[in-house]
Amino acid sequence: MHKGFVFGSVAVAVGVAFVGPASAAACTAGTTCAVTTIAATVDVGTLAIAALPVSGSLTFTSVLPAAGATQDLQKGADLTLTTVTDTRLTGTAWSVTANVSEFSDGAPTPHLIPRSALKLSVPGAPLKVLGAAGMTIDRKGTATAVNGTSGDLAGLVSASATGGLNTVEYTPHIDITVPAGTPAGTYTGVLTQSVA
Amino acid sequence: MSPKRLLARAAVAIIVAAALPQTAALAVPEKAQCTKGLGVGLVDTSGSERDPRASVYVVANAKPGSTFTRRFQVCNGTGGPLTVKLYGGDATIAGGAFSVSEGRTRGDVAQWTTVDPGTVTLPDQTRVIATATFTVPAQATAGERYGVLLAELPAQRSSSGLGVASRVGVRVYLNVGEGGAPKSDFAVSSLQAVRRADGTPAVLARVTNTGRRALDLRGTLLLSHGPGGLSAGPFDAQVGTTLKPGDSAPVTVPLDKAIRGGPWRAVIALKSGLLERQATGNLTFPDQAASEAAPVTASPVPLYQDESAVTLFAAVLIGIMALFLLLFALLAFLRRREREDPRSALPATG
Repeated sequence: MHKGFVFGSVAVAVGVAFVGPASAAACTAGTTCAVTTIAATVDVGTLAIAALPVSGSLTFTSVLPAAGATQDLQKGADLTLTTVTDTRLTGTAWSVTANVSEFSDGAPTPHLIPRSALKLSVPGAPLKVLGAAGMTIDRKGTATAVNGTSGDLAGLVSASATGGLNTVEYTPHIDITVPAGTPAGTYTGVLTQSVA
Repeated sequence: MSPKRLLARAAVAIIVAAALPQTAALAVPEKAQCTKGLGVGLVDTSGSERDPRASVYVVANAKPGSTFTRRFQVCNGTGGPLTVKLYGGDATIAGGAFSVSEGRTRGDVAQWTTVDPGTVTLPDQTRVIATATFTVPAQATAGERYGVLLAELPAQRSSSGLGVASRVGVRVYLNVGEGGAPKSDFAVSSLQAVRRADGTPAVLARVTNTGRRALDLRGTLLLSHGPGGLSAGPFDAQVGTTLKPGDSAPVTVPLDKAIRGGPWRAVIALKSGLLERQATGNLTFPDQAASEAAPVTASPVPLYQDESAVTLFAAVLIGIMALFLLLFALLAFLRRREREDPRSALPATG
């Protein structure tokens, strides 16, 4: 069964064009027969995510080479303005899982900042919710450790199942505890946000 | 090559050529009105699956050795062209949350799923219809698996060196087994009144998935018979808690700050798909912030909305009515025959 005709049909446009005799009985050899063109556009709705890199610095120039460094360095940064839009109109939930890779300086023998040094959170501001009545948003409001093995952080942001059409904007924040003795340099990593 | 073989090949080529345009047409981007970002949405639903979640997620019951397909659309609303990877991934359910596994995993759903096309370039405001084929191996063991049909936008690097990748997906709840879909069920075992640190009262309902399929819970709570006969609600349960079979988790229902004291009669109604359960308990809310009352045992409330119960009740009712009708017809028939049979009118002879 085609879902669009049963569930969540937002827009259905059907165009019909007839040429020549409309009667099927008239459609015999040597005559011009009816040509019927039917075009249908069915919007079944989507769950969408938009997350673009923002300018900001995660360059740890203030971390000195190992000699003399005895304290960890706390570094924080806002990552990316993220927008999740749900137009499925079915009142189903969605949840964002975040994965963060370890950070590397890209040297031939790379220096690494492990996942265990990373924490993610979604601050209450800026957080914009345009949602259906009754929808609730849950988020990791406080810095939450990223799993050291798989890098998964489930439920970074999630929307309740009672919502209909909804849009949520948020900016995840990362806290990094740079281990003492980490060489100075530019460390890069990848944040992956998966919404389903 | 023999003429027969050439003819056979030509026939096959014609058949393939006739089939190709349809397949290819599905993978060609077409104009669409896409919402902001990279979006996906299920196009097909299963005709046999009655669970309303099947209109949004792939909710399927498949036998070992079987194959089925689902189509989903991928829509580009990013403002520029995109090259998107499409594939099947794995997911887990833990702590009440549905979590997409990192990277290109090799779990059951990922291995059993092929997506056509695997990569697609989409101009802005266009969509493509992709087809996911699920091939369940003949030796697959029974049980439910979780996964996602994913569209991935690889990491974009910013000047800071941080890469940001996005994936959006259609959840997959794939049960493998012979026969029909396994039973879904859950129970609310306790209710607990709490007051959060910010002074907001809330009810925590302990829910256990007692069935054999994962549940996506939602619902509301009503308060009645409160101080002075007050009633309040309905209040929405927080977050679409996902529970796998055997798991137990609290469902939180935040209330209005005006709710105080008690006792109140609380009735919570939770649903997952067509399945609904209600439970009740008497609660008294603590006055102090960051405090909680002892949990109370929740009593199940019989549901007329419970479809299986309604079906059973209707079947019994129809059966009883049919029995009565049959009995009535039999009696009428016997009376009529008695009246029409002249022998029955004869006086008894000694």
